Amino acid sequence: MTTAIDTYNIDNLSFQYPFSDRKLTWPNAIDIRKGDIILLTGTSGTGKSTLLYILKGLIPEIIHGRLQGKINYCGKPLGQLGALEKARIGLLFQNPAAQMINRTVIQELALGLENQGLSSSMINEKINAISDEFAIGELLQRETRLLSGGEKQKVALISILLMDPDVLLFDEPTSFLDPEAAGQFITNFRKIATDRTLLIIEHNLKFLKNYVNRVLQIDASGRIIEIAPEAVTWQPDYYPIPEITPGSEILRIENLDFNYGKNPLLVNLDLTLGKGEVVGITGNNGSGKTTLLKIIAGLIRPQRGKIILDRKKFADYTVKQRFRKIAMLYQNPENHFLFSTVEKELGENNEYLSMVADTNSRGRNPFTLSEGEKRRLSLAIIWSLDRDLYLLDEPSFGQDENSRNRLLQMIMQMRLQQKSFIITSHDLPFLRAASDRLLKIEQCHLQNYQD
Amino acid sequence: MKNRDYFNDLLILILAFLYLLPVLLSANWILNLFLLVIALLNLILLRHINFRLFIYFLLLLIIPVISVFITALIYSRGAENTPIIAYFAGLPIRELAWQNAVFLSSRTFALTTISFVFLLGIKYDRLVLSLMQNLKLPVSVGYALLTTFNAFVYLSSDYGRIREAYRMRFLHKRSFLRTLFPMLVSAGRYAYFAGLSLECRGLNSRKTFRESYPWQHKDTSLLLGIIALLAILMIIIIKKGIFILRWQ
Repeated sequence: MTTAIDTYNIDNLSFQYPFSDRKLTWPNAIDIRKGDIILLTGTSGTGKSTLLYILKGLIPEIIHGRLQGKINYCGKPLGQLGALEKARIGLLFQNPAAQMINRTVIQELALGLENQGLSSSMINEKINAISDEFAIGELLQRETRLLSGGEKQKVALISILLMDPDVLLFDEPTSFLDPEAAGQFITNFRKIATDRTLLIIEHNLKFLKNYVNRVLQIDASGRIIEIAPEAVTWQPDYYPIPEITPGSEILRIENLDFNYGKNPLLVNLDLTLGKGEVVGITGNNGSGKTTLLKIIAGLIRPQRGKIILDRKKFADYTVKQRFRKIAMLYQNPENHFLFSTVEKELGENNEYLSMVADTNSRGRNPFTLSEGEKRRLSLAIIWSLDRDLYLLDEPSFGQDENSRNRLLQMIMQMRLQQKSFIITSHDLPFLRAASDRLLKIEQCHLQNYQD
Repeated sequence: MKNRDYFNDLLILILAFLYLLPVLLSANWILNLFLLVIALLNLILLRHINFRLFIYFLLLLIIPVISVFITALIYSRGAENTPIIAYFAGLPIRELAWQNAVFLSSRTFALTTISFVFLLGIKYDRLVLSLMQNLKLPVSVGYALLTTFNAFVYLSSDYGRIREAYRMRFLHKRSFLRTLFPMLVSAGRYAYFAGLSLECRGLNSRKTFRESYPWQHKDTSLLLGIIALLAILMIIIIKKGIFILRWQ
């Protein structure tokens, strides 16, 4: 009989950020063993990502705060590990854009391997092998800033895997991936997890059911407890919005073409949308979903095509008139934040404050919220604008089941007021529940989605 | 992977200073322009230059050069009795004032153009990698520099997004200072996450480099060749008494 090796020994752990009244506590002694695949669950904003930062050793050396209790990694206090030992613990950030520091993808992938002291030929060999496995050969020479959200997540994930870490800490690894890439990740999941310790935060739980052997839950008070895997709702229930008959036409797009340089991205695209209608659009990473929303919002111009917004040509609108009708939710929620507190962001629309987090959040800086709370604040900001057409780019990112259902309810209420929605997302269960029609951008064309 | 096909970016940086030095020492406008032409020819042979950007730069440079010329004409040595009004009034302007104005504007033009063109010819990431590999620049400093250079590109697109966010909420009439706050936060957060990312990936002083930018014999030869060429040219010029240097 083989004895499992302890990766982490944790005892009576607690952590509190400076100037915060929230505390993360782990009162019991716990061992995390090699080979464990642990799901970390809890409502959004309770400190799941913070726990991963603690286990990575970023807290308290790099991210400051009051950490108490014992935490050993392979028998050694975590704080005493050197840079290379800490690199054996791989952390994937929730927001993949935050991980990109190099100009090109290949430089980004190579950084971890260079830090491990590998030779140039070995680094190239490893990169070539993994780029074949994950089909990212065409991304290698591209600039990281020009990647789509999903492509960034893929690159961030691969750059961690390349370092061959003993522990993997994944913070929503599939949230920006398209179904194909997510499927690829899931297929490789067993291989990735073999002989490693894996802690994962993930809202798409269905695929994890067969892999997870332990579950840690953080409750609303910040207490970490271990629960039985059977207690987890693996298949979330979404309440589909009831069908309605769409009103008159709010948006019509005819023969739209858009190229990035010489590469066509959207070709001969047609779309009509009625008042009160919700259209869901999915597609592979980099297929042009966000670009389409930006074109409709007037942020970028197509090379060809006609757009009619509320029976008037798009070109006839001034910027101000256009934004009176359209609100866009950016993929990155931070793009919406302009003020120093949550309360100031929402102005007089305090009724949306409850959407974000508890009432204590009103004085917090928006940038200090958790990713899930940031997404809800960005949604609250655009709800408060009261427009006719809402363009939502990945609205369910970082949201748990309850928050997604609240979002669905909000969409349902607003469509009754004849508000229309175009939602782009990789979250197919959510998109199915939210949309009257589901479309897909495939090979530059917009078409009906088929499973 | 060794990059041996082209001259090291560190060499280009050194050459820029090598051409700037005699311009700083020169006391003659023809010598300034002569050095500028040599520097340009030298760089064109070594690097591909974005000529469109260069032309835009020259057009922009016209304004400060004219400003320097007029200011020197009014205020420089020899201009005491020859204000610019005198010129427009058709009164004689002292020769010394003309000389100073032409010299100072040629100096401004040469210094700025050499600096800018060499900047265009340098790839910043290759330069920083070269500094880390050849001059033992600490990796913590090198990667801080690389991240900072990359941040400019991210921040410029962030600026556009922040402006759109203001416009979408009809807040675009707010003062420019208001847009600075989210920009500062954005820059701070970029730096913070870049630090976390570097730490997560185990940045350490024993790291290797996938792409190496070695200082080659051809870099040394070219550097010595240009130093020699410049020295010979200067000696000939000074001996013949065509141009003068500032200490003469």
